[in-house]
Amino acid sequence: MNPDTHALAGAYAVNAVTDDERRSFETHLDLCADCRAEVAELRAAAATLTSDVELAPPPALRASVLAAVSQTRQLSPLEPPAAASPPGSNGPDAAAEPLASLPATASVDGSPADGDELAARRNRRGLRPWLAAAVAAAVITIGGVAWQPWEDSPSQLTATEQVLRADDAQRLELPMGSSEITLVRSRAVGRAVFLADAMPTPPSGKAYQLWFDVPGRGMVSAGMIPTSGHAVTVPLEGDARTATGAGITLEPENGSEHPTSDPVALFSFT
Amino acid sequence: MVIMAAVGSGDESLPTAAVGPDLGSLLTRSARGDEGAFAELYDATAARLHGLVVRVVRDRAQSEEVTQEAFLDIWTHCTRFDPAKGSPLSWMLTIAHRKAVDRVRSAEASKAREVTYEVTTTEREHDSTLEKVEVRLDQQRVRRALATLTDTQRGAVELAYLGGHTHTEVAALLGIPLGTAKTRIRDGLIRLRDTLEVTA
Repeated sequence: MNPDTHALAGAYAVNAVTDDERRSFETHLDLCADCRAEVAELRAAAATLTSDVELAPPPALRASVLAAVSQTRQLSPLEPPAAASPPGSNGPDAAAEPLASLPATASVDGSPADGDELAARRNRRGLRPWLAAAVAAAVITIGGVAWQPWEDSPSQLTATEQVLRADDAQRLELPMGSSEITLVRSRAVGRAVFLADAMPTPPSGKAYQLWFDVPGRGMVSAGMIPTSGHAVTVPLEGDARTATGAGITLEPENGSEHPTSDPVALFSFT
Repeated sequence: MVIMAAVGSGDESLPTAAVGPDLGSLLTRSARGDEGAFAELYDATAARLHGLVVRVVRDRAQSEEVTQEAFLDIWTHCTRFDPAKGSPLSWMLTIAHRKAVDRVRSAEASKAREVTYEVTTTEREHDSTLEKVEVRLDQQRVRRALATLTDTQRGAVELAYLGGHTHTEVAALLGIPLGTAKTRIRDGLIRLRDTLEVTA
């Protein structure tokens, strides 16, 4: 984990961040239990700074608050997110535990044939035009509701947030360079999200491209990974329900229609 | 699903809230629409929340608006309060602080606020400016904890938490590099937490 990201926990806990920083850090919070615990503790610690000050508001304020309260509907409690799939129709992975740390190889499931298999798929027909991927790359700025001690309803969450918070979120992690890359997929939401602390800078003129492995269609472009060198959060373009895996290849910077190089990472959903 | 961890299910998690009614049960009853319970909750916490809001916002009229907004937010959101994510008081103070900070930032945009915040004069400045300041029993304890912070940590934490400034602004105000302000705020809060043995 990038220590620089953790360092914002203090500033975040006391609201000493801009809206952009807040959004970005909340994405991190979704993945980092240490920071969640730290934020909670530091918020409580900060509160002691004013524990010696009590100032009763004017009595009229009490009446005003209570009058407003009597006319204000309370939010419904958060219901558990929708079940992964209808009862009885569970796919093989519907009940699967999120896969924890995976081996530090490009082949997630340890099958040495994976690279070859992907290579073989390159030539299959039926690949989705990669055009849509360009759009995905432009949608990096994930909006975010405030990450607060209260929750907002799922409908207010972006697709990325819904995926990250889904009960059936399947989390696959791989080391990459000095950093770690993560793919989170939710069948219930039907989307997947790619996250990296710091993507390695691709060679000049190249970019990392995401792919879904879709049965019967082969490798389908799921968008480009922005090459900022910083922390990245990208929703994968396309339906994550039917895909059995995802991969990353190095492609010309405008992307390719089919993978043209061996995968640098493969995530298996099954 | 987000979990705020470091459970502090009761008021013991904030050392200053050890007296008074059980805020957790008041919050639970409020969540079921019990306006009487919410009135009790207000009575038990209004002075604490308003004290915080005034420290940040300064302007009395605006502070009252912010305190009211905060309580309304607490009312609408208490249905979603999760004790696993912090104590009731910490949760309520977080809401009030966020409202206060939002207010001063938007006010700053319209130049409606006195922005100069002298680090050197923050020392108990409120003692002379606020009426009805009640000295809490554990004030000495908090003061002792504050005294364990270095001056630079304390300055950064106070500018951020009480001044409502972003860490970037804190860096500019103190003339220190960006990363340094971020670190000082965090280190200061961590030391405060460790000294006071605050859990969440």
